[in-house]
Amino acid sequence: MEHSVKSYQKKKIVILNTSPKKKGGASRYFSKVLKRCLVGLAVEVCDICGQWDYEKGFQALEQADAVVVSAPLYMDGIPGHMLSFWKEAEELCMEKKLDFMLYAISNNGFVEGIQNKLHLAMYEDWCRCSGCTWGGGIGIGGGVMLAATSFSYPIFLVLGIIGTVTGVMGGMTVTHFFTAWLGFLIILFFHLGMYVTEIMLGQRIRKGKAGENQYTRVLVPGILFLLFADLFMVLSGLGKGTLPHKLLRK
Amino acid sequence: MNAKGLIIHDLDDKTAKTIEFPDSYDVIAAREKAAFCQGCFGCWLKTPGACVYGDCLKEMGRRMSTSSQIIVITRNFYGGYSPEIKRIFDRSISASLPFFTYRSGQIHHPQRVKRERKLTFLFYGEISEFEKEIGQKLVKANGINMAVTEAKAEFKNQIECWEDIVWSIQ
Repeated sequence: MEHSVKSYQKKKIVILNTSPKKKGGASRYFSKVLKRCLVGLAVEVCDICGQWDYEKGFQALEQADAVVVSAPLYMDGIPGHMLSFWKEAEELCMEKKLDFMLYAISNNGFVEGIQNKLHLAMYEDWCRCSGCTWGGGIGIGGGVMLAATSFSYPIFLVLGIIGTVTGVMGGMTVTHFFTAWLGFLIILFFHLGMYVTEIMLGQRIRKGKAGENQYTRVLVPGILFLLFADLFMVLSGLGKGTLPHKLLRK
Repeated sequence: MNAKGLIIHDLDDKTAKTIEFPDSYDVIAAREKAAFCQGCFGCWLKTPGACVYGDCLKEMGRRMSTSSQIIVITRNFYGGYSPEIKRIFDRSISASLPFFTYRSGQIHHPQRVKRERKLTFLFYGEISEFEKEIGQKLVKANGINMAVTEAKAEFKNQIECWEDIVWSIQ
């Protein structure tokens, strides 16, 4: 399956953020991580939150040597607001004979990355219809949890530095050091599978290669995921002024 | 509780008028203008059970969760549903609760209202073998997601076939 197409050194990579959210969101977070994996290349990030953004998306596609779509999983498939975009993009590719390589990052709110499989297959099918080349994708489980916990990095970084400084002043031991950095290391571990697959995708894009789909997840046991995710929903509900029992309203 | 079944289609008015649907179903024309899901979780956390948008799809989650039979007629879009049909399903996630549970070996959302439901998708339009494979698996995956008792996909282009199927699964 692996085959070299062309080198993308100094060529243009377009990352399409296709979350309907205008700010934040897991898809945007994974785009940012991928952009860091593509340092040195010409990378344009284009947000397509709705039909009002289609035109700038089409313009970006016309300039692209490779396109990466970062999208949330909605009911096991492509989010509704993007379907017309892909249909029109298919016509554009046929009309202007565009032939870029398409990669995809699909993320879902459940823990299993494999739940993104059909979503990725739809982009592969789009390539078959449009004449573009499917480069393969990654499916990330626990996308919301990864994006939400990424905000805790600065906190644990500061705690780690404070712990190290005070430890050094009071005679630091290896145990003290690990205790100080424990929170940071746990968050890093949660994200490890996602980092590895995004780095590998970045390498694939740099080399202009296609490959098989890869799946990863937030590195938390399923049972802990259930607890954290339920707690997150309860707290988010309270943040919107809704008491926990009201969330169960029929 | 809505005892009626639900037929959701993306057909143009002219074609829809040629089909005789059973009275035991409510019929929803998906082409009616409505917003797409914004992924805000408002239907789970702010106004539980209903979408925060006040258009014709506001109560779609409740209608989905209280219908015993859901039949969907959709154009094929890359092995999935048309934008109009997908909009309805994306806007129906309030049929489930925001919490999480294991179902069929994977994590999903529990249903807001527990009742037996069946789901049938009738795909039409040009469709490749690869797209049929995606469509079959997609309907099965949606069925698990929505905790229905039965989920099946059919690929038919003739209106007569749809009528036969719809009348046969009353």
